[in-house]
Amino acid sequence: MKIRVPKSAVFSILSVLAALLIGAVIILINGENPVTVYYCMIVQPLSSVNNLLNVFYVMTPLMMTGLAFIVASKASMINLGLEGQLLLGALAAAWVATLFPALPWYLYIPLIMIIAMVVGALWGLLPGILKLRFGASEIVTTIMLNYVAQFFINFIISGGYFKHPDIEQRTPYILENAHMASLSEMGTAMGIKTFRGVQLNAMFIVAIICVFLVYILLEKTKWGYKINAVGLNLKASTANRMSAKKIMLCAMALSGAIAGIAAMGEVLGTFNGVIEGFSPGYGFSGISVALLGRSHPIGIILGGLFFGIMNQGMMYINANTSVPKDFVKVLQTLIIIFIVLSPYFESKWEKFREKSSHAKEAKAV
Amino acid sequence: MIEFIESVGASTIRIATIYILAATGSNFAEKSGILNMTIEGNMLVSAFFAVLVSYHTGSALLGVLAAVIIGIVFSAFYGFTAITAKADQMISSLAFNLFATGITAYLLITFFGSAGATPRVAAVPEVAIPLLSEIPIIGKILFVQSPIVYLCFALVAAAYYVLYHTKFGIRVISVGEHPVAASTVGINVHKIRYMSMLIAGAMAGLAGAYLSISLSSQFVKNMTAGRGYIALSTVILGKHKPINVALAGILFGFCDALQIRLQQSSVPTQFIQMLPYVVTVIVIAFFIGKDDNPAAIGQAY
Amino acid sequence: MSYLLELNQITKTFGDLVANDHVTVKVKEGSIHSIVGENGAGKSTLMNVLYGLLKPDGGEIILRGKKMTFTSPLDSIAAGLGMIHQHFMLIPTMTVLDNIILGYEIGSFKLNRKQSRKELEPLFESFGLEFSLFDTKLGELPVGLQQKIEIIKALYRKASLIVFDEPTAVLTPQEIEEFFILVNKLKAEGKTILFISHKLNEIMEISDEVTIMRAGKVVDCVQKSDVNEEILAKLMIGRDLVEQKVTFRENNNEPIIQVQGLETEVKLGSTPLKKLAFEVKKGEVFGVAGVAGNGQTELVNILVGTQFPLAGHVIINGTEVTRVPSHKRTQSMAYIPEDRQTEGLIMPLSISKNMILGKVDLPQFIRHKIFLNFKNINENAQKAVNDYSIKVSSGIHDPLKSLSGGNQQKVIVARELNDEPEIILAVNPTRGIDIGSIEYIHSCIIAEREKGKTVLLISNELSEIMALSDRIGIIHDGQITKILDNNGVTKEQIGFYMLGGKDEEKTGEVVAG
Repeated sequence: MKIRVPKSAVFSILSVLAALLIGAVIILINGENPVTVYYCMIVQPLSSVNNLLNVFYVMTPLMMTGLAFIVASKASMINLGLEGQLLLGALAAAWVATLFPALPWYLYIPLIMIIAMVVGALWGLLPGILKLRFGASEIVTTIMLNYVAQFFINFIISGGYFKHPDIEQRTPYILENAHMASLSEMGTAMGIKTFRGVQLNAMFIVAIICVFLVYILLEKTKWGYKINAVGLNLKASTANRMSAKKIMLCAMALSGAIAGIAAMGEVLGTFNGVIEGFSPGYGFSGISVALLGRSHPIGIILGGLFFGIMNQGMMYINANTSVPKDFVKVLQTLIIIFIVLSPYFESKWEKFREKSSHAKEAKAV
Repeated sequence: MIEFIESVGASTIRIATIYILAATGSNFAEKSGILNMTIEGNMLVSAFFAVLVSYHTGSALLGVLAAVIIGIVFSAFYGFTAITAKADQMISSLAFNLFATGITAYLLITFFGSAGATPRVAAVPEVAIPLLSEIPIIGKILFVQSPIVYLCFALVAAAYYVLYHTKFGIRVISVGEHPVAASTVGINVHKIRYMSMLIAGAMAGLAGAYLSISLSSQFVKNMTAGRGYIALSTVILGKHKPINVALAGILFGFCDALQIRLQQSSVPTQFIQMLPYVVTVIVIAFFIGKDDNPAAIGQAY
Repeated sequence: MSYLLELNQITKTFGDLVANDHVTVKVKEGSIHSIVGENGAGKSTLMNVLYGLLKPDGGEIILRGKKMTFTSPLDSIAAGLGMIHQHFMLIPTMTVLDNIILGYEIGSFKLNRKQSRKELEPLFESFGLEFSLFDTKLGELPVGLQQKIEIIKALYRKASLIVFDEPTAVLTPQEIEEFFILVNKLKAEGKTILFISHKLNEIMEISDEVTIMRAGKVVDCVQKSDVNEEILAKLMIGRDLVEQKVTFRENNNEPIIQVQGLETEVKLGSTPLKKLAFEVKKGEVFGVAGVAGNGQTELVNILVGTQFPLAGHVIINGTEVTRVPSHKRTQSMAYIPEDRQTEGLIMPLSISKNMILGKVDLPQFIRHKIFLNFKNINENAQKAVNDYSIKVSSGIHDPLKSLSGGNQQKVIVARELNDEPEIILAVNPTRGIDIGSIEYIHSCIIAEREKGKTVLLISNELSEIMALSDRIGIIHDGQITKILDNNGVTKEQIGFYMLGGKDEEKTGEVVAG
């Protein structure tokens, strides 16, 4: 059986290889051995089932933000404000999760998520409205609003308005009935030691469902058709009985909503609240994941997996070498740079092949 | 009161210089049709190298030179991506900026062993201009500054002259407005765009050096903190006209100066820190209206 | 007479498409030589090769007996070639002076505008232009004047061979007359003219010699005196042209489209409407003739509902729709837009998905209220492809951009006429497509008229308007200045109004410009 690999996938892989090559040079600056570092980064996270499960945990917020980016970009809105939407969604969730001790978890957690989504959606709508009403470029406003969200959270927590009584720079612990148990905790509760240290929780499944739902939405429904149409040709859509503004705003709101719950696994699981600076830039990594996955939902899962492995691998790099943890970020951005460059190399490659085939023909004659 | 005006005025000019330098340079790139969001990353990387070179040579001047060179190299890479490879300019700008964040943090640890900031290094001193600095109020505000600030004034004037009164200038405008038309009269669109991009890079490099070894004397992780994006907004608010861009830079500089000043008041710091970003959003939304970008901005040729 | 320019065996391919297949054109010095061919015959490719914008795969360019290699426009300009492109290569935001000197500036670094200006003054005088124009923003000039600036630009660079690519497409009949006088003057001054067009009457009026191209090849080269329009047409399309023309019929039906007192705001780059009004009666074809840029765009936007006027009313079928955005309109009309690629189609999407553009909410294309009904969507597309003989390479899932211009336009026509609309708005429906497709689309419009449907046709092609309309309204400077029955009116009569002529002036001398 012959499996046809799509060309775009080939160039995604080549981009990764090129980035790894330059990454090796960067590792050498630090005086470490690239082979060791890459072994730690790629092989270690996959060396056991539990390690892999933790990769799933790490990739969850990346898949969500990647998905959020795709939804907006399909309607030609560039949502660089995922980080801010994620943070405010997280803060709202952390707050609601301290309010209702009597609610059963199966009502409480969905309620928290809905509120986080609403908050994320509103924060995503804002730049959308500013763009459509006033023509303000969403590129600038979304980035600025990230800083505003960041400082707002610091203000709320450090200002003492919503702060853990004893621990600095974090919100109070959330209620027991709002907690998403990790596999490790579930195991302990049941007396099984197999999953010790596995932080994976149900948010991963939520993320996979979201990917699936977004795929259905974009490819199989009339709304998806409209989002695509508006994104690909605004003028034609408006002239053909579509309310482009409404559709773009909806896409921004949905994007913000998805970003709003992106970090639920962390907030309701691992951290039991919000810690200042808890997001290592999930928002921007999500954009990278979306690009690596070529804006396709399946690609999101693969891209998220790859970035998850790298992020998880960073832990092992840290433990075994002196390479700073920012290395992974550098590598990930290099991958994106090569991906945006890949169409250029693709066309060069096509031309080269054409030429060499012409040359062969000429020889044959 | 006079003391207050003097100190806020002087710090307005001091901070505005970052925006004006970066924006004036970037305006060339934008005028030539390149969407240049890489100011943020460019300033960050060059700020780092300014400190690195100053640290090892003990010379602030060499630090500044190094930063300008790094700025040019950085913009050359972005230029290749945007001009030759015709890649999506928004996404690649973003990637370059994130790369800058990562690589400076990485090199900070590698070369200085610190995750937060470098040691203090030789910095560009402030120079009071004789006579002029003695003018009441204005003297203190304008003429007791870093030499880079004076250079910045000169560069704004030069940018105005070059853009409107030289051969290069009208060619820059033509390739940004209508690259096909420019090419039919034999103008090499790519060459003009590369030159414009390199000017932008050099000035962002200078702005980066100014940030790290003139305004301060060290590099702090992520020290640009969105200022590159504010510089981008400065270009938009200044409607791509050099003099207006400089005035817009002063407005943003004033916001920042006020913010720093207000931090000494009773309002919570984090709230005050939001100010420049909120102002940027408001300005972009309410005071710009339909932007007057060059017609071909962001379009590869 | 010797040949000034010889293009020998020029070949240029793009992928599988042979745009120029061993094309040979020989132009005599001091003559007006025309190259005629349909859209897509390879004229533009040939000109771009000549101008140094494209590198030919084979063949040679010989100028004044010398073999030339043009790698950039700089080379061809230096060799004395001036090209006036169909879409002007001028920059609207720059001044006239800067536009002329761009790329040919005096001074090594600083611009010496004064010197350039002095050098240009005699040229301006010979064209009868005011010197104050130097400092005017180019975008503020009328199109006819912009074209003169283009010609001055070429002459300033000492062009001896001037190439005009479809120069009359943007001009009124009177401006065209003026243009021909200018071209003859240039010829009298010893310039050689290469004239690219697909308008046969103009070719017959102006040329000395004509080279005919079809599908990338030269079909023939003839002396104008040896041929007439019919022979040229036959050579150009390879068969006889079927003349389609409706015969005027009296129509006393109720108006179905009423446009009253439309006004729009004054904005740079658009023509404000000034109390524009007209009515279209049920069952007629109403043609709106006019030079591009006299308010047609604004009128269309208001009719479709993508722009709202400051004042006035649009009443369709008795319902006021003036301020109803397009997506909320129930009194909908079929819309065949001017610019199919930006307004009518979504190029990266498949043919089948383009066939439901604007109709995705219709029940037949939806399952369970929200899901796309791919079975019906595909059947719908397949039927349209068959009914309208749209040529596809593999099927309805091909991306739309894989179709030729004519077939893209057919997709729009198929989609819009599919559900038997009562009213059809067609705006330049045949712009830039091949003659076969033009004939087909004209026959579709005529068929709709025969079925008693109402058609509002807005077009810059006067011949199209005259062939299809029952009544003709002339739009000029944001107003409908005259409405004529298409019953024996002539091109000249319509042209008079298109240029802004009013009834009382008609007895006197026709004032141009």
